[in-house]
Amino acid sequence: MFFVVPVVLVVVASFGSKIEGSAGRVTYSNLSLDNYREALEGGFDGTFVKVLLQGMRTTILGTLLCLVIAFPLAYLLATRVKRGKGFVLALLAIPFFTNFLIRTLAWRIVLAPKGFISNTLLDWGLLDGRLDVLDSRLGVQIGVVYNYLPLMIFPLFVALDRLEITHREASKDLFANRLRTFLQITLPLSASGIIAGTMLVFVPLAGDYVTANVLGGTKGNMPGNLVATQFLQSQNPSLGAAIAVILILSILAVAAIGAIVVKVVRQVARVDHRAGAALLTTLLLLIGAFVLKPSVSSLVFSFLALALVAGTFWLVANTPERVGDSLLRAWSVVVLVFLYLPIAFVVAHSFNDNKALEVWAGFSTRWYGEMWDNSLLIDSVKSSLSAAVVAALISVVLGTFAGVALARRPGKWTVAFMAILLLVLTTPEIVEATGMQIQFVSFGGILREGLVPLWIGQAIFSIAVVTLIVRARMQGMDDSLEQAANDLYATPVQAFRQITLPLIAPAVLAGGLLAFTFALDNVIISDFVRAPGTNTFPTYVLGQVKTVRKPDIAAMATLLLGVTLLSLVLAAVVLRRSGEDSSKVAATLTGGS
Amino acid sequence: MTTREPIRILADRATAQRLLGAMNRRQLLAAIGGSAALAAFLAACGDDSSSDPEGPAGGGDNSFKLFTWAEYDDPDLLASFGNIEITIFNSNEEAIQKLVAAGGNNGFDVICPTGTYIPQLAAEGLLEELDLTRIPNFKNLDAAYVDQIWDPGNKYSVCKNWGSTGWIYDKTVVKREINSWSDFIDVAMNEAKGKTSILDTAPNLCGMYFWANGVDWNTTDEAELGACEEFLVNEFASSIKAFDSYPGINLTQGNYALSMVWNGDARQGLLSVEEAGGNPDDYVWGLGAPETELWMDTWCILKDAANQDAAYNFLDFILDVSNSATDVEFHGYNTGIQAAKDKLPADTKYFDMIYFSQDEVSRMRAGSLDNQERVVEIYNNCKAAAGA
Repeated sequence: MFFVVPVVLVVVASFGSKIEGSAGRVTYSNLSLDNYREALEGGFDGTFVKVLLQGMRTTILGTLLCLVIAFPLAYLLATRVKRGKGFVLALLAIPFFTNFLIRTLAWRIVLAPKGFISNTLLDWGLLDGRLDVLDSRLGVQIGVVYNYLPLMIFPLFVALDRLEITHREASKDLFANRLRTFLQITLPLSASGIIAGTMLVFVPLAGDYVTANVLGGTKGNMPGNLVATQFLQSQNPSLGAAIAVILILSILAVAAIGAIVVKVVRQVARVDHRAGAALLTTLLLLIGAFVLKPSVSSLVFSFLALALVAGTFWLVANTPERVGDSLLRAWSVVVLVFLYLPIAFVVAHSFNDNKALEVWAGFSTRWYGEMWDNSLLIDSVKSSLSAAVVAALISVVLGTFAGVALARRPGKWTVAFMAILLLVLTTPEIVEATGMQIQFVSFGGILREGLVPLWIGQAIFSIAVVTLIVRARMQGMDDSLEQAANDLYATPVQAFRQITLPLIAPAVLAGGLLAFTFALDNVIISDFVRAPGTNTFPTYVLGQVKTVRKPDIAAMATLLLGVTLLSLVLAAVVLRRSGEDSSKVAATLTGGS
Repeated sequence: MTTREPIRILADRATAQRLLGAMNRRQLLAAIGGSAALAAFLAACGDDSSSDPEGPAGGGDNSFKLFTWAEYDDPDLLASFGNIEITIFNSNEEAIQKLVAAGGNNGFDVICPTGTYIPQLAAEGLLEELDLTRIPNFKNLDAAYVDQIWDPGNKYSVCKNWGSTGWIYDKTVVKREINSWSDFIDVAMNEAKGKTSILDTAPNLCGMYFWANGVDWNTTDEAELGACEEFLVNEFASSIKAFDSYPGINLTQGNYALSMVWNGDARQGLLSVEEAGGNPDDYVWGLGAPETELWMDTWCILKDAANQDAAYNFLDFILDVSNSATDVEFHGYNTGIQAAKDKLPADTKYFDMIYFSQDEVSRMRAGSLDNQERVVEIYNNCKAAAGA
């Protein structure tokens, strides 16, 4: 119920209309499509359509950039690194576990025109003028690529890691050159990872407006922004709801088109791989034409990145293996530096002896002491942690049962259930948030008390994630053991406890960990559903985004990073003890089977 | 059932080992270890204020729930009053949305809306009519800051603090003086093109145009509004780098060369430059001219507040002259209590950015919500044009 009701409420609201002169109350006395007409007014010159198209460009380009940046890294990790894969994967995951708002804000420190990097580059004579990246389309792209890159790397790695090395060896034995091996063996066999990664990046990115907003200035106007503006500034929720519905439909449409295209290309390639390659290139050119339509100047970066990656592939294919490998390695180091740059600045600036986080004024540990006196901050962290623990538990319990049921009791309901899960994952957070707010308020009672609304609100998304991870794991195993347990007269409960649960334990644990971090990071839903007097760490930081930021949030983030690291290490130890090798740990962490 | 048989499992070796490993419960222990570390951290956070055992809420004690903007009052001052639970909002509309959606006070006792939103809040039946006899310190407010057009007779609100809008620019980039909103627009469209930030509120964006052109910024005349839209969307939008309500720090970090800014934020920006050992003289602050905004944030008690007594006590507490001075020191805005000015430390910096001259005050105009929907529409269209 908590899945569907918020979305239904929003759809219903989109047919209503605002009561004139009220502070955003909606009447349903004469239902109409007026809101949709208003949203789409002016066609391609209309405000909404313009922003929607621009948002889709940013999203598609961001997804493609993530793919080309992540692929060499995942490839290297899966095929060349033999020991310590778990360590490298943990290295890649850590930035992802730092508070989403803080790591986005950190880029403002990194790229500040009068900041450390800009000054250093000027001193070395590497720049003519000061860095001018923030509040531009380039800033937006850096931000979205940064925030979503790990979601691409992990599924790619999982897919590539499962590739049998023998396939590539055989290809080599048949005198295929490296490029050919790559195109005809590696790429098709890793398609599942590419698709999973693309979906994981594309869907949430299309609904995200905070990243673009923080880093992009006027260029960071995303469609989600317009939804939020209608709800929070124009006081016109029904128009906002209509825009949200169109946004959801657009996301689903693009995803569906993508799926069809992939299917067609694969079909063609199966018959004739050259035709397949030609078709794929044409399609990429078409996408490129769509993406690059706006002003080209700030997109030079993306061209460079694309060229760099293409060049890397070419070199890898045409140079001796050793040279190619070192290029791959160099690329991976570049990516790691990219991932850690803002985190390093957060940690450094937590020792800033200034009231303004961004403006460096010398070293001091004062904020590590002073933050404990900021009761608003401390209370917010406490609520965050305790809410996230419960939300993670709820997600694990419900998600595990749902996942097991989906895998073992298939039927018509699974289709419906998967559709609902997909809806939860594609609904922009702002829509889910406002829907839930209406729902919680109208039910009232316990749903408005203490941390209860946060438990439910934060669990919704995580339940879906845990369900998918557990289901993926279950589908990877045959059910012979469970059958055997049945034959040996074990009750269903016994069988579940003693056979099924231990087998899916890594997935459950990984799901729980992901659920915990998602809950800890959640900002928009928490902001809307929280009970009066309750702040979470992210909602507190969100308030700070719009005022003078003090370094105590960085100090707290650094401390929390330490705690997250500790729990990551513990989780890794647990998984290793249960006999998994490190690549499978990564697989379960990211939902592969 | 107490003796344990050796376990036999029909499975391949790897799976069998995994299952057996799981059964000796090491995983469980390690998992418990993980939660223990977390619990220890939670405990280290201390557990004092959230479960305050002293006295029941809603009685004569000083506990209440405040709905306000971030970093807007001295935390030590608030703590000296009593146990105040703060929830932050980021815009008036957001705050009102959260009350309207909840169909009432949403559990809050006191809210700090901007004056122009009081008629709307009152019309929605969200505000308590104030009994001014319960706020003796109300007398401390200057006559100029009571009885405002949006709340005649202070029926629902008392002044929290007020401020105005102007500009701040980087002298190393903008070499000429800016003396009016016309200059501001001209500089923004020339030497500061693509390096200008505008306050992220619809009325301020449109206000800039109206003030520059001598039009009442509360106009509902569609001819004026249409001309405003035409100019902002087609001519001005491409000059804007960002919509930023707190550009002070960003400007001093070199992100903008010119910013529309509230006086308190401009002051914070200059202070942070000084603290970092930079040169604040590189930046020039100016109050808007020939006309500019007067905004006033207020204290209101919400209807059916559970802790009404504490709320009244607090309003009286915060209007006390020396408490008011403490708060001014924290946020850098005029609290409408002139006597507080004399209680500020002698070394208070940028004093004239807190307390304006009579001449400056005479340029300021209060806003209204009369043209709100249209103005937000213009702002959305301008944003879309700026992002294209």
